[in-house]
Amino acid sequence: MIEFITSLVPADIAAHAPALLIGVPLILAPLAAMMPNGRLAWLISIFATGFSLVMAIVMLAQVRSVEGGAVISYAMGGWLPDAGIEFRIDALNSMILLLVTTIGFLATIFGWPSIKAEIREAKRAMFMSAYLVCFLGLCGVAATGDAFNLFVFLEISSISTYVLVALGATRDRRALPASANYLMMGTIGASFFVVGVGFLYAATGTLNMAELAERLQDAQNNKAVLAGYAFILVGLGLKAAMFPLHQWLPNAYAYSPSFVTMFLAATATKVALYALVRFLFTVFGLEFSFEGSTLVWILMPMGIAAMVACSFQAVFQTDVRRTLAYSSVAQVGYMLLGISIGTAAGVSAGLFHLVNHAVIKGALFMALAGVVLTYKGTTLNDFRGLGRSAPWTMTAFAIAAVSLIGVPLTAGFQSKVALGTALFENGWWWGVAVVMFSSLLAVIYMGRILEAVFFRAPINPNKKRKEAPLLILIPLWILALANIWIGVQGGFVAGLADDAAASLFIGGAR
Amino acid sequence: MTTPTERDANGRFIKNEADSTEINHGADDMHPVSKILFGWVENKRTPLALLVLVIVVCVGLFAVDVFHHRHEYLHFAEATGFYALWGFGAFALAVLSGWPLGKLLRRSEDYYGEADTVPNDVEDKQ
Amino acid sequence: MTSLLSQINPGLLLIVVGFIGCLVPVQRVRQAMMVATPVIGVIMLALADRGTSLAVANVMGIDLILYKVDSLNFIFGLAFLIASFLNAIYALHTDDRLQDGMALAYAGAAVAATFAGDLMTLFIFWEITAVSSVFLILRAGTKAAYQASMRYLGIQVLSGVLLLDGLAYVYKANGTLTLDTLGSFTSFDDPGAKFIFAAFAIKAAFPFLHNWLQDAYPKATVVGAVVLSAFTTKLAVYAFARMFPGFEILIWIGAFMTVFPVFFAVIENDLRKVLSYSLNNQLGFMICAIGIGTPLAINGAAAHAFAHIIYKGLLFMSVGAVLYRVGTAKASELGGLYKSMPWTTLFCIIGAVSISAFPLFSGFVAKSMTMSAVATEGYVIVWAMLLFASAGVLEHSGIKIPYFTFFGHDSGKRVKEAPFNMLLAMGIASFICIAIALPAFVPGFGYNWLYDMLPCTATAPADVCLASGKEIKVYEPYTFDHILTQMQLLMLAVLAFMLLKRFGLYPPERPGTILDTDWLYRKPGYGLAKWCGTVWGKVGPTMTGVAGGISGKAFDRLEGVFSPQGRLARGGLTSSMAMWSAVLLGVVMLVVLIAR
Repeated sequence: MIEFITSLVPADIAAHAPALLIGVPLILAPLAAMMPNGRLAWLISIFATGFSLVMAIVMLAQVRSVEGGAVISYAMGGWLPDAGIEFRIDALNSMILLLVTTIGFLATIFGWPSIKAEIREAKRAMFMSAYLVCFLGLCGVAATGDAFNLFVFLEISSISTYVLVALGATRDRRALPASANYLMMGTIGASFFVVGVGFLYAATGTLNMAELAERLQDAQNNKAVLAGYAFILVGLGLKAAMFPLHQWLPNAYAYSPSFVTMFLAATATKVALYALVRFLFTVFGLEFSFEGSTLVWILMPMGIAAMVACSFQAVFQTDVRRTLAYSSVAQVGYMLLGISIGTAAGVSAGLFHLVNHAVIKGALFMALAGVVLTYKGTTLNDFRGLGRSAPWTMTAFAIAAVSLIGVPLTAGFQSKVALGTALFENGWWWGVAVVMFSSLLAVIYMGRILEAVFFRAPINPNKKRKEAPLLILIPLWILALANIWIGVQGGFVAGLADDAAASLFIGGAR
Repeated sequence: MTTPTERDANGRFIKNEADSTEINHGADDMHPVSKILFGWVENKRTPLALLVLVIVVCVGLFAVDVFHHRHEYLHFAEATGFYALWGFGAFALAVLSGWPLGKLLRRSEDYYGEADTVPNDVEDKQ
Repeated sequence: MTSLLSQINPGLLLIVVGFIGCLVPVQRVRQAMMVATPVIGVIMLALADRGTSLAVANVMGIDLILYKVDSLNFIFGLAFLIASFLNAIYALHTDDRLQDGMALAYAGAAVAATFAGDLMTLFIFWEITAVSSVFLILRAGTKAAYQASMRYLGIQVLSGVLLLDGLAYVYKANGTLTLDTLGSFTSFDDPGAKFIFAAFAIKAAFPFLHNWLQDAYPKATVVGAVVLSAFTTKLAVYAFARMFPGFEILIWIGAFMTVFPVFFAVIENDLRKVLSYSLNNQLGFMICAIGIGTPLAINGAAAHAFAHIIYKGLLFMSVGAVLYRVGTAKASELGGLYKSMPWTTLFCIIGAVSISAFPLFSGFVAKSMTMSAVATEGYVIVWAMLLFASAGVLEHSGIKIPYFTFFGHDSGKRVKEAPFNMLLAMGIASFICIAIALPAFVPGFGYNWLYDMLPCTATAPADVCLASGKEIKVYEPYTFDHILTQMQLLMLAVLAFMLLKRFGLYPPERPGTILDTDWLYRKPGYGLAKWCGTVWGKVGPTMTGVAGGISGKAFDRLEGVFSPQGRLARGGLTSSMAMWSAVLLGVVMLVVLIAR
């Protein structure tokens, strides 16, 4: 499959894949904004995200062509680092890029019915344009090898996200305060991050991450480096919805347009988490004596707090969107716990869960968008009896839900086992207990929804049998089946995660 | 189907004497096979005859035990009439314990708020 | 064709046909599938080779041995298939797609789990039995059944989760999950042994873990209760025999398990619940035998399981037939039904004398092996407890069920005889009860037929039989002493019944709910959860409000975050987030500086 797609791409294009992956959506975004109607803008977006997906696959193939993973270094405009901006793709980047572009592509296809229902015609072209900008921003974060450039891309994606969230106001006015909150919080996070990068620049005189990593070795005790580390950790932690800096997330997810929720849930926090991993293990590293302590004293407790507290919060929500949003924060906790182990196996488990969670939440929010489209409401009561009126949508939802819980033969089970194994090997057996407990809470909050869907009679018995449209059902089922595929044949994704973690630990980028 | 509705203090249904005579002796009321298989139950002397029969059998079984020495892995079980007494005693204990246990553990049928436990696939509900 | 048939786990066939059956709308076609499939399953089983892995699949790098027949699981699988066949006949009068299909799939899952060659396969089908069987309760359609089914599902899935945990330990320690001689545990210190023991214990309804059974089975549909009675618990018995033979604690658990249900069954009014308690009591005999672990005891457990599946099914069928016609299964509302349901009466009596272990009926040839094995090993107290329980069985299953339903105080209810299909199923079950118990006048018939299938025969003993090191001997049930003692025990007990009844000492059947340990989670546990919910809903915001008043804005924000109704949306949480960012930044700096 990968070989086949790669073979279709001309060599000239493949050589410039990193630039084209970002560049094509960048060029097409203003074009989409100029389109006379939303449908054309949507078609352009499909092309743009699809093209990026092909580029991501090409880069994955290039990285995997060498045993142990090649590193593609692409100098933008031919300007070499330090002066120029470098795009640097190793096993980790290529995995994240593949994830973002795949989800982006599926989301774009699925989005149209939902956008038509929730966004006014006059704004649809602009909406698609903003979406493309957000998409390319996320891709840029995952591709760049330059710390400041990473900040720029992060802000590109964030600012367009604020717009996207605010457009949910057509459906629910509360989207406006949610967006404003997100804006302020995101800005705080970004500022922290850029301050941190500034400190590092002051200490080393470079912004290229590979260079930074080398020069930081000699500046381990520099106070500016320490401060920079703290600012970067907190800034990226906020963007990744690390507990307790997650509070922007539930409202942003709950009130933004369904399409945006689905896209953000599956990609935005994941990319921020990638950036965090990149800084923790490439730019800095476990040789920095303080890093191990922050893993144990900051990331691990915050991860566990998220797993427990936010799962509890999810249990008590009455709106399904908010349940899923809190669940997302809890799942970020799993990833943080994995990363905080600080071993290759732990980071690999965290990354594995990152991908799986994107696939799971993507499917869940897609199904949710289908429900919003056909039945409007998203409270638990609105879900009653949907199993009978929309069996296809709800079966896919149920598959993703059991995967989230971690039932064997699903993706969620695989990554939880990987996480449990890594915890065990590190002697953190109590971590396994926390994972089990949090999974139990997941059983409760997803079980409540599934019970309402499949066992309760609908409140309004006149509710007609009405499935989500085919444009939603097809990407939804692709993601649902991906859950089972990863669950049964987890090797491919687990392999990607292993390679990615290995590239961090044998100094892939260094 | 006739269903009496009144109950006595024990929760049993109170039958109208006239009804029961008719039911017991009405020729059309009984399944033909039942007359062949269980007609003897109707006889008023049956209970007493049964009791006598069982007593005779029990005495007989006990008598065999007196004259016949059994071989057991557990030697105390070789005592004469061990099984007979154990059976009698165990049964009586189990039944008689029903009195205090019933007082202790029995609650109203609606105790858990689920009085209706008759499934939907019985004939009357279909 | 035959080679293909001999290499597919018959359980898989049943599961697939069961799921297809859920989609077949034509009643007769579907029912033909339901009846024919177990027959094909028996043929497949007869063709299968013993002792080799017949079907292997590789999933996630673990070899799943989907089908492995040996002399231990053969008899359990055969009993399940026969039960599934009888159940299908018993269900012919209904037209319920979901129930028909799920009953077959449930039976199939039990069969497939029985023939699983490794723990992972066992786990998968273990969970399928849980999920498919819940529909048999749900289809009763009452609120009580719905709630019971949810409790049932929760407990069953918990069992699966525990099994999965144990399995993970086993895999980590041994690197393999195969169930062979090495697969069985030798002590509780083996990795995973405790988890797996707990998982099995739940399904086998051990004391204090038992009340999912008495809770759910009596609330199932008429057909559902019959189906349920056969599979889940006996699958657990098989699993114990496979993995925990000779564990001494099982002897004591089993003995206790035979005794305590006797007392509950005496006072229980719902006859299907009486049968559920009786089921528990019978399981006790099997568990006790597995704990003894000698070849004779393992044979006793297997034979008892086989006989029990048939006669317990028969008893549930007869009470079900009464429930179907009369609309109630409460002893206080029944009586005198022999007049209108003579065939049902007859079959019920056959089931009752079988479970009571009268000579010439199946309980006699099966249970006596266990008794004998316990006596041989010198467990005096256990033996006395089992003997007490034998008299107890006679009380609640042998006398109470038929007497209060069909004889006793005439309720005046006159109904039609049970539908023909029910009578047919009961008739076949009755025939089996007698056929496998007759003295072996002709070799290979009568009880010899049953004994030849047992795990521990001289020709092909199962692995577990050799573990205890005891000699495998041929057991002879029809000795003069054995018949004599059994008759003494039973006839004197019958005499006790007659005397107690005559002197008015027999407690009357009264309507009511009998408290069992499920009270703990259904009353205080439920109340606690409800209370917590109320607290969360009412006191929680007030409390945080008070705290907020004390500690200023920061607590207001916290309350906003944790309250479920999403006050966050009103805006203004930015400052709290900013505060948190600053706090966290401070903490990180502190940690970094200290660690340096």
